[in-house]
Amino acid sequence: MKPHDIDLMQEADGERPRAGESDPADRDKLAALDELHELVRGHLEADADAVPAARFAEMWNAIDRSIGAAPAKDSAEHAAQGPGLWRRLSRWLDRYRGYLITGTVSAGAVAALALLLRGGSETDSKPIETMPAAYHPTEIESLDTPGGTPTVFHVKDEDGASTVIWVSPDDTVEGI
Amino acid sequence: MKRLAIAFVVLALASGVALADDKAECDFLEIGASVSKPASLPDELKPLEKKLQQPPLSSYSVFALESKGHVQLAKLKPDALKIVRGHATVLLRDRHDKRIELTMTLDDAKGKRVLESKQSVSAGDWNVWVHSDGPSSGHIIALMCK
Repeated sequence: MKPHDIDLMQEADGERPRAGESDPADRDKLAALDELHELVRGHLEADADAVPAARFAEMWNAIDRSIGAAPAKDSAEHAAQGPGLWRRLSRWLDRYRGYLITGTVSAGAVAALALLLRGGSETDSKPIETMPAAYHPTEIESLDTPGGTPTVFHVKDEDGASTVIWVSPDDTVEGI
Repeated sequence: MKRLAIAFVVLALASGVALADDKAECDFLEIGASVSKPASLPDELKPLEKKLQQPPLSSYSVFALESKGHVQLAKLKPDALKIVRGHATVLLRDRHDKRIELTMTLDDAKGKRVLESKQSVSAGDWNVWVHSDGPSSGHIIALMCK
């Protein structure tokens, strides 16, 4: 007779004795069955654990192979195309690093010196006055015009400079 | 003997420079100017053309050359300019390379002194004296010394 669920629940809760526990022979059989059950379950669980581990190991191996294959392919293509621009630039920088550092430091020193000198000259500088070097207007030391009124003009053109002394008689009204 | 020759040459050059500083070569132009039409400017006045076309000389429109000449001035020795109207004298008072110190006098046709000036001029520059003898006419003396 197949036991009902309620019977199994009561047996699990300890509310009623398990079937066959009252008989010592049955109790031995149950113990042997429990031991066998544990053995089978443990073996199956070990097999179940072993399958995912093998699977993950296989996946990692595949990933490792793909990662190793890609750089080899890229390096083969690069070797066919020659070194890249960035690589060549890096090599050039490595080769001339000393010169670059020296040039940069020198340029900085020169710029600092120029700033210092310019700063000083700006504070002391005055507007430059340009005057013709060759032109010296006539200097009149004395001028006497009896009965007339003198007027002095400085005329300058591309032929040179000249001074005009204009004497107007006092009794003459003119509009120059 | 060689040193003596060199010293002689140096002395000769020095004296020459000193003598040159005591002289000046001058050219002068005497011009009659008036206001009338048509305007005219003779070819002899071409060296002064640009100055005559500028104020105040541009107030005149007709220019006529009345006389011209060349004088060699010696220091502190007055020279008369041979002009047709009145009388003019020039005196070289001193000279320092390109600067020439002159005294200029100008008398009108009646012998009356109308101008006396002492001035320091630049060698090669024209200097002009204008005596306006009427509302529309003038007497111009232009002098350039080197």
